Amino acid sequence: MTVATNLTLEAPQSIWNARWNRFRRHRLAMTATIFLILLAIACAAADLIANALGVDPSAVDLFERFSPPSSKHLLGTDEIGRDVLVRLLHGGRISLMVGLLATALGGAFGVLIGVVSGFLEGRTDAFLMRFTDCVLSLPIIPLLIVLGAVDLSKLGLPQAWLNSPSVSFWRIVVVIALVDWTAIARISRAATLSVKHRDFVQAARASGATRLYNITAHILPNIATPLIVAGALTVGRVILFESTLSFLGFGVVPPTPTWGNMLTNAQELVTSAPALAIYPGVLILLTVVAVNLVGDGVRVAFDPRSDS
Amino acid sequence: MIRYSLRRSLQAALVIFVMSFVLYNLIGLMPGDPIDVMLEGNPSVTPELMAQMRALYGVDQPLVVRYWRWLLAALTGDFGYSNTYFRPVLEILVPAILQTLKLMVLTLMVSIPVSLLLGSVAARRPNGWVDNIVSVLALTSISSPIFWLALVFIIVFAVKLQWLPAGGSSMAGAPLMEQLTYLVLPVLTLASFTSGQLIRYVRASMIETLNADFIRTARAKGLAEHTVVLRHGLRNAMLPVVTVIALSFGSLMSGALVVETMYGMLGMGKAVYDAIVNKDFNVALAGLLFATVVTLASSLLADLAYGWLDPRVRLE
Repeated sequence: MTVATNLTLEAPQSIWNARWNRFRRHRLAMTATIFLILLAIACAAADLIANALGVDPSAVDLFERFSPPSSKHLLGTDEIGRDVLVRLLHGGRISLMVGLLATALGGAFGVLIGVVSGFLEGRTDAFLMRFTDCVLSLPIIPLLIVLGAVDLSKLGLPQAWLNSPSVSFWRIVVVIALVDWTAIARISRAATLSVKHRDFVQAARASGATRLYNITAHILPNIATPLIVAGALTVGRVILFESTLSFLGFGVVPPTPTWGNMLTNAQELVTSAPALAIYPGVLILLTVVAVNLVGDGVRVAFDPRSDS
Repeated sequence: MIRYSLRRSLQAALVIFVMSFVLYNLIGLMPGDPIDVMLEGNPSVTPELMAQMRALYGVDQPLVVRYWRWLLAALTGDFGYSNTYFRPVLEILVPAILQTLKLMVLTLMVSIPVSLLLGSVAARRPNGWVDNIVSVLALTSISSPIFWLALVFIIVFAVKLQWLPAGGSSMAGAPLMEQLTYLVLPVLTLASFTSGQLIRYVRASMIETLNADFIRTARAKGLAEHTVVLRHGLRNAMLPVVTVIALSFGSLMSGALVVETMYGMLGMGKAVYDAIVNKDFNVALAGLLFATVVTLASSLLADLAYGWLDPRVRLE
C-alpha cells in the first residue's frame, strides 16, 4: 500500500462498470471470451464460409476421400469426402446451442426448485431437497443414455413432429436439462436462505410485499452472482455431455454433424486418418476450457474477495 | 452416531426403492417390449401369437403389477433373463461388475496419490510456476471429453508408438503382466479424467490449511518443512478430500462406461451400454440400479466417514 497523495475522488462507477473493469484485467478470461466470440461468429457464418470456399457441407464425393488440406478444403475431407472445416463449424453451432439452451432450461428449473425450497423452508424444502438428492444419486452418463433411447411415441407425442429433423436436437437439450439442474438448485437454495433473513427482505415483508414480489425484486437479484458462475460451469459440462452422448449414438444423429458424432467413426480411422479424430476433440477441449475460464473470470469480477 | 447411520441407511433404502420404480418406468419407455425383441424377425408370427406370448409373460399387465412382480423377484435375487445372452441377468452382470471394480480400484490407486502430490505441491506456492502448470493440467483434465482422451491415447500409445494394445482383454490364463498391459490405457484414461477435479480440491484445501495458525506454530517451533506439510498440513487438508473421493464414485461409474466402451472391456458400463443398444431390458435395469446403489452408498459413506474422521463434526 502506498500513501495516497492525490486526494481527488474517483468518479463514481456503477457496479457493472466495476465488474467489467475487474473482468477485463483477468487476462486469461478475456482471451477465452474473445476465443468464444470468434468461434460463435465463425459457426454462425458457416454457410457463408462454405460458399466462399466453394464447398457444399453435405456433398458426398467419393473421389475426394481423406484428401489432405488444400486451398479448397482447408482441413481436408472425411471418409466420404465431405469438407471437415465446414462440418466442424456446423457441429459447433449444435454444441454451443445445446450448451446454452440446456443450461438455460435446466438452470431455470434448478432456480425454481432452489428458490422455492429456500424461501418456503419447512416441509416443502425437505421434500424438494430429498427429490434433488434422488436425482443427484443417479449415475449421469448411463441415465442420459437411457433417456436418449426413450421412444418418444410412447409418451404420446405426435408422430408428425417426431419425424422432423430437429427432434434429436431438442431431445438432447431436454434430456440434459432433466439431469443437470441439481447443482444450480442447491446453490440457489443456499443463496436464498442467506439473503432471505436479511433486514431489507424482512422490511419489505413487514410493509406488505407479497412473496412473489419479494422473490423477484429482492431474492433473485441478490443470488445472481453464484448462479452466473455455476451457469458458466454448467455450460462446459453440458457441452461435454452432448459430445459424449452424440459420440455414443444417443444424441444428435448423423448426417447433422456435431463435434461428438464426428468422432463416432474416428475410432475405426485411427490408423488411416488420425487427424479426423483430433480436430473435433481439440475444439471441444478448447471450448470447454474457455467456458471454464470465463466462469472463473466472472467469479473474480463479481466477488473480488474470492480471488485470494 | 449409530442412530444417525441407521436413519441415513433407511433413507437410502427408501430412495433406492423409489428409484427402482422410476428406472423401471424409464426402461419401459424404451422402444419395443420384451416380446417384440423375442419374436423379432420370426416370419411365422401372427398377432394372435404375440397376444398369447404377452399374456404368458405378463407383459399385458398394467405397469404397476409388472413392477411389483419384478420387485418381489428381484428381492430374492432373481433379476430375470437376458434376452440377448439367454442367461440369468446376474450371471452376466457379476463378472462384469468384478471387471469394473478392478478398473475403478486401479484408477483410484493411481489418481489419489497423483492428486495428493500435485495438489500439495501446487498449494505450497499459490500462483507460482509449479502451481500454474498443475492448474493448467487440472483444467485440461476436467475439460476433456473422456471418449476423446481414450481416442488420443489409442492413437499415441497403440497406433503410433505401439507400446500397448488398443483394447480388448487378454486370453484367459495369460500371465499377470500380459493381463496388466490391457489395463494400462483404460486406467490411464479414467485416472486422467478423475484426477483434475481431485487436484483442484486438494489444492484448495491445502492452501486453506497451510494458512492456518497451527501451521505457523509448527513452523515456529522449528519442525522440518516436510513434517509441516505432510503431518500437519496434508493430514488436516485430507478431511474434505476424503468426502470428495467417496462422492466421486458416481462419476467414476459414468467414466467407466465410456472407457469400457472405448477399449472393448467387458465391464459393467459396457454391459449396460450394450443392453440399452440391444434392448436387453432386464440387464439394463439391473445394471442401472446397481450403479445407483453404488452412488448412493458412496455418498452415505462420505457423510459417515466425515463424522468418524473429524470428531468436531457431530452427526445428529
